Amino acid sequence: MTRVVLYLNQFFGQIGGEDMAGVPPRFTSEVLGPGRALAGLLAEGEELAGTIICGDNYFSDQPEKAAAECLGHVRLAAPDIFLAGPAFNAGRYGVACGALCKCVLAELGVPAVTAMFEENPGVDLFHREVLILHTGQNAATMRETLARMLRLARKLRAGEPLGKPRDESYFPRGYVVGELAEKPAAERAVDMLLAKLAGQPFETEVPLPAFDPPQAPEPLKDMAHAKVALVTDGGLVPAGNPDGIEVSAATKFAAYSVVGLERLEPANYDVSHGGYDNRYVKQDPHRLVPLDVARELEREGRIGQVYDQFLTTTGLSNPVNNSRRLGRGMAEHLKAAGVDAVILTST
Amino acid sequence: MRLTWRVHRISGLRWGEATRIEAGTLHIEREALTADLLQDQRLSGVDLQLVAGGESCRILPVFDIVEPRAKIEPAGADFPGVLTPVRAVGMGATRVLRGMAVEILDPSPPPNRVPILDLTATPLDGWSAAEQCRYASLQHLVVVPRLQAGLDVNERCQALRLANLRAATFLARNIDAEPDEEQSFELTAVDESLRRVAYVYQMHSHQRPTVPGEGLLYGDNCRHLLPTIVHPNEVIDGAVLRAYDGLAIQTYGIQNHAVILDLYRRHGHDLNFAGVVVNVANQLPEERDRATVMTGNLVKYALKADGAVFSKSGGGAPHVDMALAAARCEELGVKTSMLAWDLTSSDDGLQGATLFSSPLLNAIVSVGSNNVDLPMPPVERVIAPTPDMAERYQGQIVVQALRGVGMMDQLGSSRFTATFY
Repeated sequence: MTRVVLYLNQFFGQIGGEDMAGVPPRFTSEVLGPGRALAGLLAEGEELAGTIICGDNYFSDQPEKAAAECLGHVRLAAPDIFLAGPAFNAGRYGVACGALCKCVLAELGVPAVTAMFEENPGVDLFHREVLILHTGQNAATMRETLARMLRLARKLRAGEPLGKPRDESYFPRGYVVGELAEKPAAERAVDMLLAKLAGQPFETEVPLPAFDPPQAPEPLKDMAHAKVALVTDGGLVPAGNPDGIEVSAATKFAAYSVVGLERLEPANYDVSHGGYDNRYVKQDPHRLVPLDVARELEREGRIGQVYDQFLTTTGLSNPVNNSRRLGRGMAEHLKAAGVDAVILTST
Repeated sequence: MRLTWRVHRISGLRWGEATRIEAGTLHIEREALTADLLQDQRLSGVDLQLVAGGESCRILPVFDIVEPRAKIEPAGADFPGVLTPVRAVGMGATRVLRGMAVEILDPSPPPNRVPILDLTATPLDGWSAAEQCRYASLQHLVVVPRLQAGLDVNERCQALRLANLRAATFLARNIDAEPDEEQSFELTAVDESLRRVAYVYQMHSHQRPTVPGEGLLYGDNCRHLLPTIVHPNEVIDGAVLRAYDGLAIQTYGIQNHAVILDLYRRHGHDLNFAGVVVNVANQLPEERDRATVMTGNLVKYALKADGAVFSKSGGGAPHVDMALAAARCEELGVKTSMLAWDLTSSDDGLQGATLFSSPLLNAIVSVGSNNVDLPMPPVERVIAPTPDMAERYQGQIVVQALRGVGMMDQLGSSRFTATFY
């Protein structure tokens, strides 16, 4: 018998709504809520061996404790397949599903699958470790989603290779795999264009990113007293690159002192960036980090002062998430230093 | 404009008394070829090696690869503006030695940039070497050059390029035989109801600016090229060359341009091949804006295209030039598709890192990803500029996809692609 174990929150587990969101994990062998639809989908030789139910707040208030307690119940139920949710657009529920699937995979080595809407924070947190299927925003597609979850979990249990994310409708975990397509790229590009021209369906092979437009801060009212920092993603580093800033997709940024410096002497600097012709910056680092002009403005009183350090990293081919993390780190650094404005130079 | 390829099928190479084809085997007169190459005084010597298709052999660092060809009508117009004076090409007849390639090694490649051609590696399970690498089953003449001391990098690159073109032309020029087949290229009038499809060919990215003498289009280095209409025949008949540093593009791939040949194949059947616009990726914003506007107008109003395929060259930044021009075409009502590599780094496949974002640019074909490593088992023979280098590369190695010559191709000849799981 293949034992299928299901995780639900207090709402889908029919304990109650928000007022019951604090209930601790419990195990039930009763078939309820989405469990009924799931039971109807099971093949011969498969059984719903039990359901673990936990309140959303109980989980989100103490995620590690809650996960450990849930895992205890899961372990006792001895699953061959573990399914969590689907959580649709319910944020706390999605995070709990992702966290628990991650634990079940890691601790029990049992295939674990969940499903949720793309904006559920659980996707962002767990898509790297956990197979998360796409769903719509609400529970209208419950039965169809459970069927897909079950199908994928069976596949994992049987050790069959996973299909492509777009074919199986899961969030890519980020493993890039080289493959051979049916046809050369040139033919595929012409095929795709002809389909687009004919109004027929086609699917891009490179996912289209969507960017949230950044919000501009309020303009400075008083430049003459502002502390201004020079920041670049063009990879200017002291000679020898002491912090080992990578030549592409840097994982860190660094801050280097300009205290007492009127100019950046070319001999003292180098460029760690593999994506542009660095010769001109090496000849004159001010082409990237304009300390010379900033000092002039400082002397003329047009800006209050130049911040004591310039911040630098390398942006080349940097993924959005990593860039966000670096940006956040730089912003925290600058805020802590009381910087009012930044001149950001790129290449 | 009508171009005819007179194709000779080559299935073997050997040294001989004279350069000729006998039963599919090309006999090469070694001394005459050596003398032809050494007319360039920047070369102090050349070592010539023959390699059979499918031999357990690794060739590195590959500077470039050329298919042996020679213009017959008009004779002597080989790679005009670079190897010979500027003459019209794309018309008349060209002799093509199919089934072989001539490559030249770069004795001092930039660090960490060693393009490797391996004739037997099968880094992707389940596919033969020939399915994974367009050069694996070809017969090869490898030119291992020795350069005079004291050449600057531009002189060195120019000498390597000329030697490669010269060797390839030498082989085809000296053949006296009936071709095995003929293939003709002409933009004939076809059913007017077929959709007009243009190709926008980004020939070079000036993120690494060309230098004087680094001819790309009839010998012009296209340092400030404005978008221009060319006939597809000119591209495949020697008027267009790649830059010295042709990231995942070889001259062989321009001579056998996968997009152009596919558009020709479908011309009159699935589509009406409207023509080619060549442009470059620029360094300055105003140059980029100019190229965007002009490319859009040429595609829409000069070629009257309904759709356009775009490709890029160089590294990451030229994606932007390509995308701006494609987005402009879409604004003008011209549908687009693009050949690109995803810039998504391996730490996160959910968030793309393509350098553009427009809902109109929703048809992108992946030519692969540099985040894919290609494992290659030991080989019996390595052809490299020094014994030391040959020894270093003889065993099991791992090659970044972009350096796997013939595997990842920005012009779309390869089936190699990247999928995120």
